[in-house]
Amino acid sequence: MKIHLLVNGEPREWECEVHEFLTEALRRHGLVGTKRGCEDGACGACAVLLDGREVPSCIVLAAQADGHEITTIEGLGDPRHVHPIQAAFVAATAVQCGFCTPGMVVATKELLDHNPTPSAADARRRLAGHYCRCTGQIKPIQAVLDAAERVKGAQT
Amino acid sequence: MYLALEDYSRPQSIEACLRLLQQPPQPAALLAGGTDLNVRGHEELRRVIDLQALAMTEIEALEGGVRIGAGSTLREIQEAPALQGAPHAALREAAAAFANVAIQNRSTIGGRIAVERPDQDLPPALAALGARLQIYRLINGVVEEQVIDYPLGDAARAVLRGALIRAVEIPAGVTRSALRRLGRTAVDRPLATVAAARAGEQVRIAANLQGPGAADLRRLSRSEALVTEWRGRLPENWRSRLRESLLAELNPYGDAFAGGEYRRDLSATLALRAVAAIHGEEETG
Ligand SMILES: Cc1cc2nc3c(=O)[nH]c(=O)nc-3n(C[C@H](O)[C@H](O)[C@H](O)COP(=O)(O)OP(=O)(O)OC[C@H]3O[C@@H](n4cnc5c(N)ncnc54)[C@H](O)[C@@H]3O)c2cc1C
Ligand code: FES
Ligand code: FES
Repeated sequence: MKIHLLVNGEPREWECEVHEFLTEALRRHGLVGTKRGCEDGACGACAVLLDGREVPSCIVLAAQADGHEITTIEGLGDPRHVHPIQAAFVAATAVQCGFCTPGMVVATKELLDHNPTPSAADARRRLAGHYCRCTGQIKPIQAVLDAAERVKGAQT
Repeated sequence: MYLALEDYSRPQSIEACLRLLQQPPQPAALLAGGTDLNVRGHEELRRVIDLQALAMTEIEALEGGVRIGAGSTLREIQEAPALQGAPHAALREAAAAFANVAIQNRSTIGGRIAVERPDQDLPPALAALGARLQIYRLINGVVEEQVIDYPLGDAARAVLRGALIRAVEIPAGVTRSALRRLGRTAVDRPLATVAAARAGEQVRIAANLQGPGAADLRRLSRSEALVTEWRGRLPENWRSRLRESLLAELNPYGDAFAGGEYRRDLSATLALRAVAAIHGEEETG
């Protein structure tokens, strides 16, 4: 079946299998920053924004995303144009293997879009469901708080 | 890609959804957020009928009550202006306790109600609030609407099979509600959940001793009657009297996560706290 989406601001028409998940569709089209982890909706590695809200793309059918707007990690920044949230994760050494990082960065983007001054409790609650096996869960929380400062700084 | 779907459709009307549900290829299912259906364990499905074009996402105050479209997500329920007050606290608390934000962004209230599992937090909240469901079914080829009480127990849930849940109606009159739960961690499924609500002098208490095989979601009618009798003014020894009533009414249910007596005692404590909260009392005991 054909689906039409806005992916990172670009209109796309993709041919998909009926049973294909959004994670696969994105990765098949080169957007491999979205990771395949538990494939059960539980780990956060596959997170993307669907109409501005974080969703686990591993349990969203590509067909369900037809007509919607998707933002992946590639839509936030790249090595030459690093997004302030990405910079905060690097600065807080909240990245080691990097497998969990795209999901956490995308989740942080949604949080800051709705709550530009999160508390540590907000950050913890927001990253619940994002598992980091390398750095533990503390540094990503620090990264979220730093990211809030950086995003605010970038806007002023 | 463990699903083996052959057909996906996104009909524009309730009638079209219900008719497609009966057509081949089978088995078929209505699809909302997909946080249950799109997860392993549904490999047998051949057709899904996506409900998103029905846009059942209204959350609106209505004659003192609130109407919640079945497609509303648990995140939308937490944020909706019509659900911000004390009467609907139990509902917001149940939605916020659900897994994590990404799942809350996808899970719909209709999907949660339709899933054949009486455990978890939302059902006790809905039962305590006296929720009613607007459902549609195909009976002898004709679409029929029904408004039913929130079903407690497997027998009552039979009416939901093959039905499309259109909306949840929270009636007027509830002045305060509260939900208390305990899990091993913030993101774990709870060991027990109790919700309580006050509508005038009437008090409703609903409990789940959580776990696969645990007794169904239940209203604790004897304890409800006891608290209702107190007409909003709790007597000095209310905690011990209510605890005694609760313990007599709750069945012990033990599993690998908690022993039966512990879970029963925990549920009684959670109920005491929920009842304290809806009376503005301190939550001790
Ligand atoms: C990581 C993870 C964590 C989870 N944590 C929790 C939790 O903490 N608490 C909890 O209760 N559940 C939890 N779940 C289970 C799941 O999120 C819920 O069952 C969810 O509410 C289902 O809603 P949905 O909209 O995604 O339904 P779907 O998956 O789309 O559908 C579920 C069922 O409901 C039917 N259905 C959907 N909408 C309607 C409707 N309007 N009318 C009739 N039938 C309908 C479908 O046919 C299907 O049988 C979790 C799931 C995952 C993947
Ligand atoms: S891969 Fe999607 S949540 Fe784990
Ligand atoms: S950096 Fe390796 S899992 Fe988080």
